[in-house]
Amino acid sequence: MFTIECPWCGNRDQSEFTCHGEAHIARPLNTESMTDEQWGDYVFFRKNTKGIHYERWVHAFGCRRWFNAVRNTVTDRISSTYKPGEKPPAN
Amino acid sequence: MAELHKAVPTFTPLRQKKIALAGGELRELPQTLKLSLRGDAADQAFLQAAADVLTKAGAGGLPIPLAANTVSAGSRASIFWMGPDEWLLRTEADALDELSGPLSESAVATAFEEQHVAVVDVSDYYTVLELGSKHSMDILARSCPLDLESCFAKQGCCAQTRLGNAAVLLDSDSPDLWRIQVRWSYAQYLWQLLERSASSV
Repeated sequence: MFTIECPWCGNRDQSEFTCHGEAHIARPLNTESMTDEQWGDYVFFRKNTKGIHYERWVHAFGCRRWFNAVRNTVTDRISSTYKPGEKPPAN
Repeated sequence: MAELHKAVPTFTPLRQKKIALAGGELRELPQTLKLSLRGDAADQAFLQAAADVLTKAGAGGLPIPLAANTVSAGSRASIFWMGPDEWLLRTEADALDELSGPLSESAVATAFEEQHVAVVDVSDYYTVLELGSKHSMDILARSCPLDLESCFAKQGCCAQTRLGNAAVLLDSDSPDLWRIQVRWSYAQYLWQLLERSASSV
């Protein structure tokens, strides 16, 4: 069984969770002066990393909270999870 | 502010259906009052106000459970941990008449005065099924990814998880007796799922 550690509920089955893509994408501050290309980059373009990837997940069938996970996209191993607002681990 | 009148419905989605199944029975419990409560768990004033409103309503001095997946269970009402800043207050069915006044959405919201707290009546959003059978654990395990045995090893545990495709809130008195809270619109689905699971244990 593939389990994921929810920062609040602990280890739960992966089928209780949903993934919502790359984490730590900061909304730009200079929105009024941005070009279409810069907007396109912000809204649509993602890193598509091979290896360590920082992602946003939701414990959809549990406490329904968002959190972040560090997942290796090659092995699918989730090395750690942490709450929103916390500093991402260095790995 | 306009007062929104939200009466607790007198009926339940499955009309308190009851059937015998493998080694026991499955039934839908009568309507109860359910309040969703959101606030800051680190705020002592919030915790105190919540305890006060429950004591004053006669629901007993139930503390707000701060540990994940735990429930403060009293004889007339229970408070479930739903998230780090969210709880669910659910009365027992036989205490509904008495508590629906003092624990109405507006009465509880008033008790928190100027605090940054959300109180929402969700009585008509959920219903509760009760599964009482010597095979209860097996029946639930057919469609539940959670390890019920270790998760409910201690008293006072509850868990939000899934049964099939339904998001549920589980709590139990003993390994044989389980209450399953489910969204109103999923009640029929869950009923059929449990019936089918029970037919093969």
